[in-house]
Amino acid sequence: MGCKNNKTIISRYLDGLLNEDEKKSIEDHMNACPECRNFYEEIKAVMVMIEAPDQVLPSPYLYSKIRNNIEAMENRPAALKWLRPVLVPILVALTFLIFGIGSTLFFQSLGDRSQPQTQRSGSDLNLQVFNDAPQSSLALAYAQITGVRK
Amino acid sequence: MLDDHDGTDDRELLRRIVQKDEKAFRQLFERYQNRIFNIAYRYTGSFHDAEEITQDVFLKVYKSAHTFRHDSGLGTWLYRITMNTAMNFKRKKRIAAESLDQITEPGQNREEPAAASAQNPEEIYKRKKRQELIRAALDSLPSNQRAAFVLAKYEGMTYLEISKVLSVSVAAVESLIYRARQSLVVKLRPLVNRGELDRKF
Repeated sequence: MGCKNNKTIISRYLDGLLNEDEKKSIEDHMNACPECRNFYEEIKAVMVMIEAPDQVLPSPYLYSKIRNNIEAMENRPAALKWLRPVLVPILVALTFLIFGIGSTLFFQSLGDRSQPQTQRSGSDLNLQVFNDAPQSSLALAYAQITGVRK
Repeated sequence: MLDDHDGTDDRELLRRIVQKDEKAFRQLFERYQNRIFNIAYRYTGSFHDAEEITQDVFLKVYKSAHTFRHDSGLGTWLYRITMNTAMNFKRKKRIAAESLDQITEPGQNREEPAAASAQNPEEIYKRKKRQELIRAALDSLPSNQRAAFVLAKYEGMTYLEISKVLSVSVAAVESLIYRARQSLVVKLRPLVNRGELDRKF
């Protein structure tokens, strides 16, 4: 058994997690293996070094602080209190609404472009520029082709 | 070991807390505050941080008592909240410190929780430096290793109990503790070799 595996077992040994046979086995190994024995000694020494002193006590005012926080939380303005649980559903609904309207307008505009061109006067489309276009201009030619101009 | 009190007692306590019974909440606080505070303190090394974390934990319990599903003991649930809160707290603090280019010196935020007994200044200084090194070594552990180690070493929890608190397997806990110990040995080896401690074995 490699010593790397033994080190894991030594860790468990320190925590008292080995049965009697396993304990005997690892102890015998440590007696024969300086590396593993040294590993055990070092871990043990470090664990002793970082041994905690007695339990640390929190401030006696801790509960008061917690109660103050709770009261502040519960005393939020009534408007905000009732709004919180419905805020997310409202935002989701608004998002869908905006998306729906936007999509409708977008596809509608696509549909308008694909429809056959109808005779529309420049004034109807507020395209006075075509009515006023000079005789030889591209704008006039376009207007004649598309039937925008009467 | 975990303070998972009698199941009926815990259920009743939580039921009353859900109904905003202040006495029940106070009772819960008195029962668990020291343990929760000490877990936070061992994890962060800071008295002030531990108090903040403890406040956060009990606030969360007050707000979320109705979500407890009784699939574990109340203590396990509380310690899980504590570890998660402590880890998030430490992570946010580290990010904030890094963004402000602040380096926390070992032991910088550590406060002595109680007055030391009368000792000469040199002893006090040596003890303080050693504690700073120990704190720095613990702080250098990855958060999950530190959590498992703190719960095992300072709270005396079994691997099974730790696995429930951290929501990992027992084998994972074993691995975390083993790696934590290895790292600590490497970092604290100079102190061990200088014989600056009383070896009790």
